[in-house]
Amino acid sequence: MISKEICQEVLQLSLSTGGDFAEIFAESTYNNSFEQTKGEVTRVSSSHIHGASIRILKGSLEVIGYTNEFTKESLVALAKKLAGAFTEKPLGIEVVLKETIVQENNPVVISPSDFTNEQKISYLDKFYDAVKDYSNEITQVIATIRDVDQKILIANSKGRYMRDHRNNVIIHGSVVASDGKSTQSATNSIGGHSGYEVLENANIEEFATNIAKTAITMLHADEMVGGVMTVVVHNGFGGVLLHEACVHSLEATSVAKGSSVFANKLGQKIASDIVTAIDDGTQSNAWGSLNVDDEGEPTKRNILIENGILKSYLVDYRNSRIMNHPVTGSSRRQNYKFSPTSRMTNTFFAPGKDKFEDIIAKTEYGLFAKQMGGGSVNPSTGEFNFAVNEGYLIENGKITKPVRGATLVGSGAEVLMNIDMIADNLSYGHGMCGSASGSIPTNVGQPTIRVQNMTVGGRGVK
Amino acid sequence: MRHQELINKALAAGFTDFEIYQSKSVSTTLSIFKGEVDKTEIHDSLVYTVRGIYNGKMAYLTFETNNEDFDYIINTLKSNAKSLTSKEEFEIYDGDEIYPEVRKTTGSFLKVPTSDKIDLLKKVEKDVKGYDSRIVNVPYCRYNEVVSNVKIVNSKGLDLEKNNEYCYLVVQAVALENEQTQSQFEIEIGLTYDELVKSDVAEKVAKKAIEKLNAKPVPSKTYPIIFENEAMASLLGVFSSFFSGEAAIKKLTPLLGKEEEKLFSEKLTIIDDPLYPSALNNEPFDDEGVACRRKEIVKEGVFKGLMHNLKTAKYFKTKSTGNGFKSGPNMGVSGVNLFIEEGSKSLDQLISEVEEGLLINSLSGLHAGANPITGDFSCQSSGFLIENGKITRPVTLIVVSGNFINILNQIDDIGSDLKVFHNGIGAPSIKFSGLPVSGK
Repeated sequence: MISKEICQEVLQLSLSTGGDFAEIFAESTYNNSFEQTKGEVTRVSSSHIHGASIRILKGSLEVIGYTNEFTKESLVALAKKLAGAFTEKPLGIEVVLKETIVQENNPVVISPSDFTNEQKISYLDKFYDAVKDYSNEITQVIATIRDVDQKILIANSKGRYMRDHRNNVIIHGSVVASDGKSTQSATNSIGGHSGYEVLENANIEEFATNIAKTAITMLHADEMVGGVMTVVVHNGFGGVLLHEACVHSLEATSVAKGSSVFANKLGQKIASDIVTAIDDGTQSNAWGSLNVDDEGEPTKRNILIENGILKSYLVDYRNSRIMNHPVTGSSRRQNYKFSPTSRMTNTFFAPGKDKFEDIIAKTEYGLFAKQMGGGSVNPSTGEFNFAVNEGYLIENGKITKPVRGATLVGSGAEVLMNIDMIADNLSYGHGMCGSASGSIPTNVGQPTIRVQNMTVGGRGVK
Repeated sequence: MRHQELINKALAAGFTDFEIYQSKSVSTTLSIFKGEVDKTEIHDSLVYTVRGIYNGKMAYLTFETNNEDFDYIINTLKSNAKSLTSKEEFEIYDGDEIYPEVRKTTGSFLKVPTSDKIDLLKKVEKDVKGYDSRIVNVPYCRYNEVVSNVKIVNSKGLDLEKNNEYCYLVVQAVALENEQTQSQFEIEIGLTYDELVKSDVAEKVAKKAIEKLNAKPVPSKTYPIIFENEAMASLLGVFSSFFSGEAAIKKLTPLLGKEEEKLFSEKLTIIDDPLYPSALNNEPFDDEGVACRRKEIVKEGVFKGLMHNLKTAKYFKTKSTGNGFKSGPNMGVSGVNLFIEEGSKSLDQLISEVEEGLLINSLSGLHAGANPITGDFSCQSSGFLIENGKITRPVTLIVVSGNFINILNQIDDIGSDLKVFHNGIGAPSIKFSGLPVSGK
C-alpha cells in the first residue's frame, strides 16, 4: 500500500514541529451489499474505500487529517499541513520502522472475492424460501447481505509497521406481519469476522423462521402496560443491556474527560457481587473480533468488572496518556476518516450459576425480554434506554402472554447493582455500534439475567 | 477524474445510461478542552458515486480516488446490474429547464484566522462554566466548518454543480448537584461566521443542563403532553419515511394509497421546503439532477402525496418531486427541510393552559424505541412537570408512548416556535391531550 521508506519519511516529517508521536493508518476496503425484497433482488451496490490518515500527538493534543491518495507527494503535503498546528522544535525522535507480522486469529475460508454475486444471493433466497409460506399474515420480507474486505496498514513513530487483512460478512433479515388492523416487524442478524463460511455454517432456515415467528407473535400480542417491575433479559442480544447501560461509560472517550458516571471508580464496587463483565476482542472469527486494533495493538480479553468490582476501562493510546492507564487493544475507527478511540469488541456478562428455568420460576411478576432491540446511553448521566422486540409477561413464575412495544429505561449505576440472578446460558448477538469514531461491528452477549426494579414503558393503558 | 472518458467507456461496454456524482468537501474541526485546543481535524474528502443502466437495471458503485481503475468500475457495475431481478424501472435524468436560485456562498469563515476561532471556543467554554457553579465539566466544545461542492455529469448531457458552506458549534455542559449529573448538548449553526460569534449557545446549553438538575420520574399514568420543538422534530424525523416513495414501494408506510385522505388533525400542515431561508441546507436540485421545489406533504390534515425520486416516481406513474437524495451508495428519498407549519400560541401560552401535564424537551433512543413502519413509539423522555399552568420541576427517566399517526390526529394546539434543525427537520412545539407515561 505504502512502502516502509515512504512511511518513515512522512512520520519523521510529521514530528518536525514538536509532535511526540505520529501515525499513519491507510486502508483499501471493498464492500458489497445485496438486498432482496420479497424474493426479488432490489439492490446491489459496491464501494471502494481508499485513503490514508495521519495523526500527530503532542502529549494528549491531537491533530489528524487524511488524503485519498497513497503517493509520497500527497502524504508529504498532508504531513506538512498537519505539523503546522504545532510550532516548536523537533524533539529529536528518530523514526525507524520495523515490520511486524500480524498473527492471524480470524482465518478466512471463503473470502468475498471467492464467491460470485449469485452465490452470495443464494443465502437471501434461502431466507425468503424459509418464510414466504410461514403465514399469510406476512406482508413483507427484506433481507440484506454485506461483505467487507479491508486491507490496512499501520505505521507509527515508535517503529511499528504492520499490515492486516480483515473480512466480515453479515446477513440481516426483516419480516413484517400485518392483520389489516395492526402491523409488526421483527429483525435479526448473523455475522462474523470471517468470510462467507459464517453463512455457509449457519442454519439460515431456522434463523429466518425465528424472525417470522417473532413478527407473528408480536402481531397478536397485547400492548405492554408500563410500570416499575422485575425484568428477565434473555441471553444473546440481551447483552445490549451491558453494552449500553455500562460499557459505553467505561470507554476512555468519556472517562478521560471525567464525564462518565464511572470515572475515578477503579477498584470500587459498581455492580452486584455476581456480575463479571468482559470485553474480548480475541474470540476467533467473532463479529466484533480483530487481530490488532486500529492502532496496531493486539486485541485482548479485558475483564472490566469482576465480582462487582471495576477492574479496567477500555483505553486507546491517546487516552492512555491522559488517564495513566495501559492500552487495552480497543482503539477502533469506522475507516480512515475517523479519529480512532476506545470502543468495544465482543462484550458480555460472564455466565452465572442459575438456571434459566429457575429464574422464571422464581419471578412472581415481571417482563421477560426474550429479544432485545437497540438502545442508547448518555455516558455522562448513565441514563439508557432500549427496546424490547419480543416480550412476554411473567406471572406467578410462568411465562404467560406476549406483550409488545416495551421500552426499558434506567441508569447504568443502578441497573448493575440490581442484577440478582445470572444463568449459565451465555450466547451472543451481532450488531453495529455507532459512536465517536463511527459505526463498527460489535458483538453483545450475556446469559439470561434478572434485574429488579426497572422502569418499563409501553403504550398499554390499565 | 476524466468524467467524459469514463462515461464513453461505459456506453461502449453496453450501458445505455451512465452518471457520475462527485462530492468534494473540506472541513476543519477544532476542539477545546480546559482552555486548550485538544484536537484539530482536517478533512479533505472526495467521493464518487457512479451508476449505470445495463439491461434495464441500475447498479451503484462508490469510490474515493481520482485514480480508480475504470475496468473495476465498469465490470463491478455490470455484474451488479446483472444480479438484479426486480421489475422496477430506472431512469437517468436529462435535466430541468429551470433550477431555483439558492443563496450564494461567501466563504466568510475561511477569511477568519484560526486563532480567532480558538478564542471564540475558549470564550464559549468559559461562559458555560461561568454560568453557574454547578456546571462541573464541558467535555465537548467544538467548532466545525464545512465547504462542499457537488457535481453531476451524465450520458444524457446533464452537467450540474452546486456549492454549500456552513459552520457550527457543538457544546456539551455537565451539571452536578446532590450526586445527580445532568448533561445537555447544543448545536448552533451559522451560515456565516458572524452568526456564531453573536450566538448565545453557551448560555443556552448551560441553562438546559442546570434546569434538569434534581430531575426525577413522575408516577405512571396518562398525561397531557407538550413536545417542545426539538423533541417534536425528532419524532417527525424518525417517522419521515412515512412520506417516502421508497418506503411505499416496499409497503413500509401506512400512508400507501391514502393520497387526498384526511388522516390527521386539520391543524396539521407538513411542508418540504428546499429553500427554507435559515436552514443549513438549501438545494437547487437533488442528487439525480431534478430541480427542487417547495411542496405540501400534508395540508390541513389531508395527505397530499409522497416524496419521490426518479425510480419511485416511475413506479407510481408520477413525476419525481426532487427528493432523490443519496443514502450511502444508493439513491433514497428524503426531504431537504421537512417541517410542521407553526401555529399562533407561544410555548408559554401552551404551558399556561395545562392543569397537570408534561413538557417533553428531549427524546432518546428513537432508532430503537420507534417503529417507522407502524408509527408506534415508546421512548426515553425527559422534560418538566407542569402543574396549574406552571413548570414546577424537572422530570427524567420516563417513557412516553404513542402512535405517530394517532397523535397527529389528536392535536390540541400548535405553538408559534417553529425551528428547522441542523438535520433538515423542523417543528414547533405541539400539545397533545393525553399519552401514556411510564415512570415510577
